[in-house]
Amino acid sequence: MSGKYYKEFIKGVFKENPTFVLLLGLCPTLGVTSSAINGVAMGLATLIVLIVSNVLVSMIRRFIPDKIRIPAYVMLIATLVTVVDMVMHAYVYEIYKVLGLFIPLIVVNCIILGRAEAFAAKNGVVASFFDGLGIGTGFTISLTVLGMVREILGAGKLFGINFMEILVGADKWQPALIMILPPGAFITLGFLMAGINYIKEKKHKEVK
Amino acid sequence: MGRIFHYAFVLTLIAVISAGILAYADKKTAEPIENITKKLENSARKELFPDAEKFVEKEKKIISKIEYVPAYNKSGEKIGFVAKGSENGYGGAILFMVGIGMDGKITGLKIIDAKETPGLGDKIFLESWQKKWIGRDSKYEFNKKEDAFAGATISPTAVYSGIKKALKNMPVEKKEKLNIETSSITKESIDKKIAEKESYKFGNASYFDISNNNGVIGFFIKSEAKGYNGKIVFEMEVDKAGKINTLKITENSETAGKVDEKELEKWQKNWVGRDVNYKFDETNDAIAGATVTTKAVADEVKNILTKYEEIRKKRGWE
Repeated sequence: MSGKYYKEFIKGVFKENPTFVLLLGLCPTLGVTSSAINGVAMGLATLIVLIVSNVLVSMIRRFIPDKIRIPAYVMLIATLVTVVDMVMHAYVYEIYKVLGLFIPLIVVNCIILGRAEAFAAKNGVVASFFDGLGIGTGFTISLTVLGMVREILGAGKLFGINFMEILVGADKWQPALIMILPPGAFITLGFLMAGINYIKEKKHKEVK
Repeated sequence: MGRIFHYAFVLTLIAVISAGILAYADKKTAEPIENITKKLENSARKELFPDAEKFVEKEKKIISKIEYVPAYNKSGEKIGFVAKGSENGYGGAILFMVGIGMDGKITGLKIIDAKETPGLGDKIFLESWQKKWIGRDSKYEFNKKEDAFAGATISPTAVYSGIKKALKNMPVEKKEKLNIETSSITKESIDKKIAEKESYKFGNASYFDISNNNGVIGFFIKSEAKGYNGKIVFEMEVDKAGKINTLKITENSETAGKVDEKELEKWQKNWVGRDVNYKFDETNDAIAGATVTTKAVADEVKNILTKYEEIRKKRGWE
């Protein structure tokens, strides 16, 4: 991996993390992260679609007139997601069972259109691939972290394992239900962003 | 102007290609998806009805929006239904499947889809809660202490009313309830053959020829009488001399529990050997508590036998 492509990849994970920095695609972020496994699943499904859509958009970017690029991308992405949904349903049902719920949600995820517009329409195919990979990975990590925090606090579990009960005993542990309801998503996201910004600022000062 | 046409052309081209790809993908995946859906439904049904071997989709019946698919055991006997229905809960429709045995008891419950509040109403997905319903029937009353969750009563109540509807509308034919087989008369002797089409029909009564290798030996007659609650369907065999060979009630909608099966069997046997000259005797022939019903059957039998005498004349059997 040459330095340029590595940069495209790594910026999506940290500097331009879609959830914590760009605040893109918040709808699925807040909606599905009630458990860690949901976060992983949604993240991975988005990652795959993002890579393919980035590559396709980059490939046809010279043929699409500027003024109609948005409807063209939307059509492309919607077709892509629908085909992915059908193919997975038909041939890899085990994976579809976990991801199936999230795939239609990807169509409305603005990360996909956002990256098509902001990156793939202006860059080459390989660079777009790494941009999709990076942003998708960043999205997956963010969703997983969100899901983990919410699952621990809201259900006392992690990846479905009832570890809080084992740790402190069932009678002493009362999960905070709000954490797996929508408000819990906002609270968790807010605290995580505050934490990340605090670390960033501290680093910034140190550099100075 | 030229530019506008160019835009329209590009967009149309993308739309056409997209539509083509979608149509192709849909065509290719339709069959595997259908197979998977069927397989899943069958395995879900099996979970609800462990005793069942086969579910016959073709015999599906839909009664007040509930789908009933009959379940059969290894020997091909119908042992119940798997019903699929939906009921509105707190967050929308709750889709459920319930297995019901022939005795009207629940053999299993599964919530397929629901959007109830996470952590509260969605506890209806818990296996431990679903298992509680096994063995209950339509007489079961919802018990808030036992069946509801703290803070969530609407969701479990919705499931309960859905199940209740499914149990009440179960498409069981009455003869299945009574467990009397229609063909039992003919089963007794194998060489007898009943004509496929009736030879005579008077009122409710249909007369079918019975023959063996030597020709016609009598008649099989199927008819119905109006009882206290509705119709009673019965079958009888009468020989050439006009004497009753067998009589059997195959379907009845009379007050359950009033007549027990043993008594009914004894009553049916009493009719063997009687002919048109027999007079109904209330003290001997009425079943206690079901006089109206027994009298109705006796009257119809008398009618049938009277008409039968005409047939005997026509056929020269006198």
